[in-house]
Amino acid sequence: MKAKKIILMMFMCMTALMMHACDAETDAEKSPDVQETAETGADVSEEQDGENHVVESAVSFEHTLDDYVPKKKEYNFYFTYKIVHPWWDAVAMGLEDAADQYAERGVTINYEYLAPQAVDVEDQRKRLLDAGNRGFDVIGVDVADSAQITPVINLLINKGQKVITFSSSDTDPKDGCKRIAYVGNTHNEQDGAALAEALCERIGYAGKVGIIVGDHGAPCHEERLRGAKSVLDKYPDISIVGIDYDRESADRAEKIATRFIDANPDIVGFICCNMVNPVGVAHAVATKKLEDQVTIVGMDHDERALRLLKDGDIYCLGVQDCCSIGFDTIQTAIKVADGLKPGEGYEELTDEKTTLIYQKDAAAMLYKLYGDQE
Amino acid sequence: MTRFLRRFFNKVTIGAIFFIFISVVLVFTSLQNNHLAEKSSDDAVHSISRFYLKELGERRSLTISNRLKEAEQDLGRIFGNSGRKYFVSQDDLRSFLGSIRIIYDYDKLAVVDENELMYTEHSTISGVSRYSFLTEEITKPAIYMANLYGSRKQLILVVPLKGVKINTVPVRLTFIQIDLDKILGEISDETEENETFSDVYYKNGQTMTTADVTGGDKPDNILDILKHAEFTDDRRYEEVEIDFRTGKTGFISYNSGDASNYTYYTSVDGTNWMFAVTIRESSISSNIGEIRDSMLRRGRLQIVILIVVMLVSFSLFLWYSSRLQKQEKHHLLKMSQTDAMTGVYNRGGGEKAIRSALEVGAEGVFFLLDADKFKSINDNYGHDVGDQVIISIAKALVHSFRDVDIVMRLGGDEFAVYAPGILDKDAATRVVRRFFGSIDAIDIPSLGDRKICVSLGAAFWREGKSIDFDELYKRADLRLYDSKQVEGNMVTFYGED
Repeated sequence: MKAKKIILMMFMCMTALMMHACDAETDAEKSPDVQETAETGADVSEEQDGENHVVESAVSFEHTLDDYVPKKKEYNFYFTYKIVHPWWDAVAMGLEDAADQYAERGVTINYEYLAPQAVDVEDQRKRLLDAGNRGFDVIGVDVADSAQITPVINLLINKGQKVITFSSSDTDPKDGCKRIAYVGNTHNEQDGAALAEALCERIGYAGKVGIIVGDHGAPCHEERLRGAKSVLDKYPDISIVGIDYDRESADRAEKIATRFIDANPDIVGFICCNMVNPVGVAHAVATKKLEDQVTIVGMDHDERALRLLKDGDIYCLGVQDCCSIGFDTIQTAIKVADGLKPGEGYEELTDEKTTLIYQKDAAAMLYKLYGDQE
Repeated sequence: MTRFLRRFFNKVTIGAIFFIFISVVLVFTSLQNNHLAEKSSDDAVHSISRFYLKELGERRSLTISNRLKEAEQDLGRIFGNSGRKYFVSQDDLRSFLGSIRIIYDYDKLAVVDENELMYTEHSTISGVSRYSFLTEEITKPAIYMANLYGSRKQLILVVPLKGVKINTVPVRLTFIQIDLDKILGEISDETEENETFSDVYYKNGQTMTTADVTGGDKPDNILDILKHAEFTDDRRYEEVEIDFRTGKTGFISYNSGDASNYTYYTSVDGTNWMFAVTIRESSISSNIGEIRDSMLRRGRLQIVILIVVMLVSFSLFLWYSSRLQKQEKHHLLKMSQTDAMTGVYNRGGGEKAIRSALEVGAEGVFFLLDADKFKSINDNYGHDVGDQVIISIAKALVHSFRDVDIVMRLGGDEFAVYAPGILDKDAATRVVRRFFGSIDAIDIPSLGDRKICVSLGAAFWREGKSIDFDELYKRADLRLYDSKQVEGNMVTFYGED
């Protein structure tokens, strides 16, 4: 009996051990993990929470057509601008966006969007006259020279051709242009003034400053120059050591800047009035190793300029909302083509904003415009 | 110790130990099988995922490559010798482009003339600055990534053209936009039941698509993910990075976050791209896992059943063994209490039974008897006949008395009977007469005409009387002596006169 009890105890112990072994969870038996999402990289713009609003509002890629119903199913437009240039490529993105949205609504937009490789007023004149003979619904022009182009515009208008101006430059009111409407930057002078103010504050309202402009006669550039000078003139301790035109060439801008620096080794600032100026000027300053001495302010969103802004070699940039310019241009052109007058669904002047951005905004802007994630 | 071991290792315990041993072996074998099943299924998952992903990866990569080649060939055909080579005006060209775009379902189709004017079905654009590759001399089909304003990326397939003109202006090239998201979407829709996600990457690991194919947050750079992942095979991140850079093919398994993944990567033929397809282990496991879980469940069930069977069998074994033992014990006990010759109680057993009856107060009558002149039977007829006489007397007693009566042989020809419940002389006498009748009926041929006679002494035991068995025996013995004085069958009762 005692033996049987011992055997039974042994048996129960072994059974308990076996059942414990069966019961133990293995890795394979563990319930499968719930599916997870993969890691993502951080969104650069989220890192700069306070500056997001500046970048987000400076340039818009989200556009929606207004409720206006075009009268026709197909439109033909002709647009000509100063120079084949990334700035106008950005405007073209807006044009395309609007055309695509109209296509979704069953309205076909055909357009030509053409420019010379270098600023050429005569070329623009010829293009306009040629386009005037081809029966476009609306011609749009980014005026290379107000005094020279205004007569051509007026000629076309008189012949019944609808003409608008768009993007960077309108005609000068004192030239008596009959263009129907303008979509673009209406505050170039204020932009120049804002850049100058930023520079003056930075340099302590004293010192020597050089100004580099784009094209002779280009309304936007001349207006910016005017605005910059009006601000600089307010401060007696600031002197303008030179004004020159780079004709949309960064190399030329660099040469001009170098010349200014050589003539004025104690120069403390540059105001750049177009998109490529800042790049050339920054290169000249770097070559002369005067980054700590010289402050550079300029216009627009050239990728190289934005990188220089990010690195602190450029102090600030005035970024225009190019995409919105293009988008609104198409919307306005359709209404103009349908015979609407300014005030009947569109304004004579459709203003597109400029936003000054600084070093802290550069990374976010680079990411937004060029997808840069550095 | 030896006695203990001898007692321990008897047949029962040896059988039990053997039984336990076999059961343990069987259970552990089942456990081992389960473990092997799990391992096999893990290996199967790994092998299947490798095979599956390789097939998928090669197929999809080839599909992408073929789509690009087809597009390239289509463009060549559209503007080739069998297609259109001359357009009278830009309107003519744009109309043609519109038709072709619809027929071939291109997102964007354009041609560029030697004046760097770009024509689409709805536009003519000075497009060089937008697509920087247009400044290059393109002599063979190539793919470019255009980084457009607004961080938009367009994948462009460019095919140089010869002999195509718009009026008199030669056309330099044509290009279409390639929508990798669309291609991937079409590929992914084709077959798989399992949850896979695939993407196309630059050699630095940067994704080339925008659509989220993961169902969650899509990684921008697969190499960044792998850099922080835990590889569960013998691969290292540095090897994978080199593979990507050099366009090699590979397979990796890794843990990223909470998920275990398998990824197969390979280069896309004709490009600088890498294609990678990933499946989460849970997806394969969920399919194989059902089978494996079923196997494991069965295995576990087998083990449980085995244990239950073991328990039941062993319990039955113990119960049966115990019962046998009880029977054995009972038999031995009975044997120890039974007179071998006659089958009635022996002295010890009978006395014990009677004492037990007295203890519980079973009132009754006690008889003491023996055969008359038994010695002469032995002397004259032999001990064999004497034994027959004894046996016959015993049989007569059993036959005459009830089952509850305790019949015992005290030794030789002496018997005793305790009949509980018989409390008066008349009842007792009736039983004795019956007994006498049985004695008279005994016929032993060897005895010839000689008859067997018995003499009985009887004493009643009634509760309340403070006499024990020994006293009862003494009283019956006294009366036996009295019965002996009378010829023939005789019973005398103590104290009943």
